[in-house]
Amino acid sequence: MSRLEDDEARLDALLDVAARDLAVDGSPHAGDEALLARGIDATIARALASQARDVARRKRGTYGAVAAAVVVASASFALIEGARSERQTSEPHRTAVATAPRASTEITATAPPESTRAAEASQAPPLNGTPPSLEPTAAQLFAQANEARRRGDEALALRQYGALQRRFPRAPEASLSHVALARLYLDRLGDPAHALAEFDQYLAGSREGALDEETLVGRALALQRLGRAAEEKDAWQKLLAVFPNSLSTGRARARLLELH
Amino acid sequence: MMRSTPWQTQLGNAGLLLRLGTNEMPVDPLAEVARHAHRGDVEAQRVLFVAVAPALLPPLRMVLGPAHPDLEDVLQEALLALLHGLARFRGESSVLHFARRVATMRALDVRRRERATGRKLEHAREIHWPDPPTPREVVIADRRRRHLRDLLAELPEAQSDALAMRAVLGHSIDEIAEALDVPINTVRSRLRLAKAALRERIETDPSLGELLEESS
Repeated sequence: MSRLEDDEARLDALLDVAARDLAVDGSPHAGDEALLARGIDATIARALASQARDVARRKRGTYGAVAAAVVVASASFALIEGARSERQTSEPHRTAVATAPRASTEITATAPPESTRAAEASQAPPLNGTPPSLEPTAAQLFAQANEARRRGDEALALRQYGALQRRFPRAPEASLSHVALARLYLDRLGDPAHALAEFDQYLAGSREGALDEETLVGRALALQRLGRAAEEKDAWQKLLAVFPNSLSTGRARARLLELH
Repeated sequence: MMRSTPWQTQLGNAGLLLRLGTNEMPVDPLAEVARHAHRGDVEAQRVLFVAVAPALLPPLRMVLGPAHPDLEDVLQEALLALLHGLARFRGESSVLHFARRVATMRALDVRRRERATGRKLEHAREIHWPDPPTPREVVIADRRRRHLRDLLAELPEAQSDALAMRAVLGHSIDEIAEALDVPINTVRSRLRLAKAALRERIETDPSLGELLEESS
C-alpha cells in the first residue's frame, strides 16, 4: 500500500471513530418525550401561523382576513406560551404533558395518573378547535428575552435572544439583542470573550447606532476583563473621541491613566 | 370514534408489516401522510411530526452537541423545513431519510452561523455511555468529537454537507450523490477535500497526530 493510500486509510479510520463518538452524543436523553411534545406543538402552531399569513396576504385588505389572523394569533401565542411555561415546571409534570392525549397520536412515555392526565388534557389546546395563531414577532421575542433576563433566567434569555437572531436576522430587535446578549455574557455569565463578540456583531450590523455609546463602553470593559490592555486603551480612547460627553468619560479617563 | 383516513390505514398496515418483519411493504409508510401534510392537513402534519421527530434528535445532537441550548428551537425549524421541503421531495428516499437529512442540514446552518458570530458552541453535557470508558478514553473521544464538529462548521458548505451525510447520517457515496443531485465523482472529490482539511488540522495540532495513531 502506498503512503498516500495509507494516509487515506488512516483518515477514513479516524473519521469512522469520530463518527462513532458523535453517535454517542446523539443518544437519547431523559426528558426527550416532553421536549418532542413541546417541539411538535410549537411547530404545528408556527405552521398554522404561516398558513394564516398566506391566507391574509391573499385576502389583503379585507376585514375578514385580519380578524381571522387576530383570532389565530391569540390562540397560537397562548399555545407557544403554554409550551414554554411547561419548561419551568417539575419533571413529573413535564412527563405528564408528554403523555397527554393529542388527537390520534401520542409519543410513547409512561402513563401518568388519571387525574393528572385529565388536568393536562383540559389545558391542552384542542386540535380541531380554535386554530392557534401567529408565532411571536421579533418585538415579542425581544420583550420576552428581556423579561427573562430581568428576572434572572439567563438560560431562557439566551435561548430567546438566539431565536430572535435566527428567525429575524434583519429586524432592528435582532441588532439590539446583540448588546443585551453581550451584557448578559459580561455581567451575569462571566464570559467577556462572547460579550466582546456580541458587541462587535452589533457594531458590524448596526446603522442607527442607537446603542453605540453603550457598546463602546461594554467593549472596553470586556477587553479589560480579557486582559487585552492595548485594545482596551483603544476602546476607551474611541469612546472619548466619539462621545466626549458620555457619562462614562470619567471612568474612561481613570482607566486610561491606569493603563498609561 | 375518530374517523380513519386512508393514510392512517396505510400507516397502520405498514406498522403491522414492519412488526411482522416482512419485506412486503410496497411503499414508504409515511409517503401518503407526507403528501397530506404538505397540502396543509394539520392532523397529517402532527402524525408526520410524531413519526419523524424522535429520529431527528440524534443528528441534531450530533451536529450541535448534546446539550445545545437551542436544540428545541432547531428541532422546530427542522420540522418546518421538512414541511416546506416536501414540495421538492420526489420520493428518491424514504420520508424519514429525507427528514433526517433536512434536520442535519438545518443543524449545520446553525453551527455555521454560530461560528460566524463567535457564539459559544460547546456546552456542558451529560453523556450516557453504553460501556463506561476510562477517563483517558473519554478525553480522547471528546477531542475527536469536538474536532469533527468544528470541522463541519468550518468547511465550505458543499464539503461539510457531504461530510455530515457520511459521518452523521452514515450515507454511502451513492446515497450522498443522489441526495445532493451531483455525480458520484463530485462527492468523492468533496469528501477528499474534507479529509484533506482534517489532515491539515491534524498536522497543525500535535495532539491530533496521536489520535490518528491510536485510531489506525
